Amino acid sequence: MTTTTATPTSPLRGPLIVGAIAAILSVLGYAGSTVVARSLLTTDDTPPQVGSTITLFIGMLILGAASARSIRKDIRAPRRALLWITLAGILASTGAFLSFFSLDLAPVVLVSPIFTVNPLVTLVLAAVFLRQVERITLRVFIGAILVVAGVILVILSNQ
Amino acid sequence: MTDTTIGIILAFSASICWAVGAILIRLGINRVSPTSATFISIAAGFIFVAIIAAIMDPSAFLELDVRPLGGFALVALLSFMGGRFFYYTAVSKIGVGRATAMGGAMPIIASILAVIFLDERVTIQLAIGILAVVIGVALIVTGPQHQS
Repeated sequence: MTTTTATPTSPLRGPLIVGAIAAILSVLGYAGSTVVARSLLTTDDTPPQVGSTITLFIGMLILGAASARSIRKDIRAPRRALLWITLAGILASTGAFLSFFSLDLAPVVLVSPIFTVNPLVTLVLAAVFLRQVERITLRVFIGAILVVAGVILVILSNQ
Repeated sequence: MTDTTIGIILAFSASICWAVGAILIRLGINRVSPTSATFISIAAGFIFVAIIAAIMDPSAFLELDVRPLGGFALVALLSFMGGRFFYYTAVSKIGVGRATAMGGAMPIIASILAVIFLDERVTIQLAIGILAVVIGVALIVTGPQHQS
């Protein structure tokens, strides 16, 4: 498996900076969408499954227009890569679907931190299935414990 | 079981779905551009979720109010053009571990926005919990990461 990511011995500043900025923009996008979605679900009578479907449909139209040029080339990519992305899309949308219901039932200040378990689970899965890409160190382990403890504290604060 | 408890369980389930999806994206993103990958993933997700939603309550679509459509369009822009596209870009550049772990900043931002715009309250216990999560994620992000 090849990647353009930085390594301890050969830091690739450009990709690292671009990746970090992209991750921050991603967080801002998801955070904003969480608040808007919560606001919509509490002020309108639209059921979560309908809201989730409509959001995906509109997103598909927007991204379809934005990726019209690149999709012609990328559709010739290896079938396995397309399969992984398709399955990832189904899982991501299932997650969004479930998150709509969770936002409908619990406050965003409670639900949003729970979504933070995501990186912890991802790291464990990456350590198991992507051993050559990710390695769990003591530092990462301590960080993971803090994440879990923080999430538990958030849950208990609502009792 | 209270609504809040069900909401918590669903939130954890969503996190697991996203985590497995992140691993799969990591496997496929090297061969496909982030823009195309975002479109393919959203199209696949739309078909899947639309089928489930139609099975759950087909009449819900017929009773749809057009007023919140603008709001859902904004959610789509923020979540997919903002969130997912940039996340896939980050995964392709810095790897799935770091990109996903940086998402730990989300509760802080979402909570601040919720307090400002939705009048939700942040207790001291909740604030400490969020702080612990953010410190934990910071340790994960800044730790050594060996990648091939």
